[in-house]
Amino acid sequence: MPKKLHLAIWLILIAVFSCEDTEIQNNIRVLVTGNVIDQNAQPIANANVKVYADADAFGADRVLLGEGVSNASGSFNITSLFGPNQLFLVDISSGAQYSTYRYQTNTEEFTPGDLTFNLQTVALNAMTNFTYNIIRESGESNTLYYRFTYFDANCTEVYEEGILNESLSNCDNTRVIGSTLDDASPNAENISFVVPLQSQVEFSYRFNEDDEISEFITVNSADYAFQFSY
Amino acid sequence: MRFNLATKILIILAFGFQLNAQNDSIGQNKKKSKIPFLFDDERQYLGAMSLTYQNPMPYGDNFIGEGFEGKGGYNFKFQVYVFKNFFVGFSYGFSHFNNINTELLGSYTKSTLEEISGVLGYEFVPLPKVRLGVNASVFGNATLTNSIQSGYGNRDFGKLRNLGITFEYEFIRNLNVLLEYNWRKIKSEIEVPNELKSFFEEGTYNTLNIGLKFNFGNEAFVDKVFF
Repeated sequence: MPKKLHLAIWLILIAVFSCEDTEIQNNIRVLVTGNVIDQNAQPIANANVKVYADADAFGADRVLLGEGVSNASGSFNITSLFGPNQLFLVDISSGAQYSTYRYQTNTEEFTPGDLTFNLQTVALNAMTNFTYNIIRESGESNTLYYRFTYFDANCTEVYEEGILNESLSNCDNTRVIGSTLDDASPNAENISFVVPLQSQVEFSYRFNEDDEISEFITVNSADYAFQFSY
Repeated sequence: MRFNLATKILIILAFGFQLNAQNDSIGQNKKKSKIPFLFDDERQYLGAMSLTYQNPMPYGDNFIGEGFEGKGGYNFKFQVYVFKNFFVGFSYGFSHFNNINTELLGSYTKSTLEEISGVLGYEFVPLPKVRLGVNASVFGNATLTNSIQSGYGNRDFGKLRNLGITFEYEFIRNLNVLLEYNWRKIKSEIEVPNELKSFFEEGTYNTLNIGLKFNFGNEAFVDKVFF
């Protein structure tokens, strides 16, 4: 009996975790088209566009089906292979200096009638490093609780049968980074995170048991440096 | 290695047919044509088979012309002379291509094109030891096998049309050096958006072939069967 149970458990595990193969259909191409702009509505040339298929999210091979770059006016027309898979992804990026965008849909259930995936206008935000230094000048035994809340410009839009599903999409998120500075670690020096250029970062802090204070910082230059002392 | 073996087999067959042809020719009274350019009974064969290396050369504003770079291939042809130098036969070959424009074709690195067709043609004999031929494909099929990445790929299918001209020099009896130029067009069955239809509906390339042709028999099929 234990042997049979053991076998059954293995069979269930294999059934649950076995990977499907990513499918690529014969005799078909699709067109992936759109336009890439920055936060000032200026076209981004040479943005990378990559089209992937993935049978599922559980370890199947992700296969590159198409790739290309945007032209001087920011538009792109990429011919891609195609197949019925749980994940059909179009990734758009333009190096580390811009945010990323992902179009995601399920092509097991949906093939556009005109064989065209029109992403229309995709906005990528210019990104920059936000580096902060927080130095204790008030002497020992003083504590600072702080956090930075900032906008995450990377975006994944999930489409179902050609219609945007906002609840499954992952865009316009905020991120938080923070810590507590005390005698064990009184300073935070040269800590960086990446934020969209021209965005606002909220800096909130509480000195010892005082009330929390928030201030907004506009990131208006590349490699923004923020200094604070307590 | 496969083709080396095939070449060896063809050489053995050619010598076999050559011996056979020499035996057959003993005591026969052959006549020359009144129009020597068209045929010469003394140089009549029953059939031939050829094996050539081919260099595919894409051209044109289409998915093969704009997206492919030729990387060699092989062709095998078998033909039977039905009447005089009019022949029918079949052709089987393949051409290798690199994908040099993934943005236009899709993200695969290389393609192998399998070419199968029936062949009709005629060979002229303008000079001693020289043959000039024209041929055309019938019922041709083309299959492109596209390699994407390890373990993945897909196929595109189409109808193959071929027009070819040949130059042969018979350096020993029954064994010819063959030089061939082909114009090939694939009428593709690839399903694409309307914007891409004109680009994908046809693919064009030429091939320059060089190889050996082995002849056998000493009279055309009609003569052999009916006379």
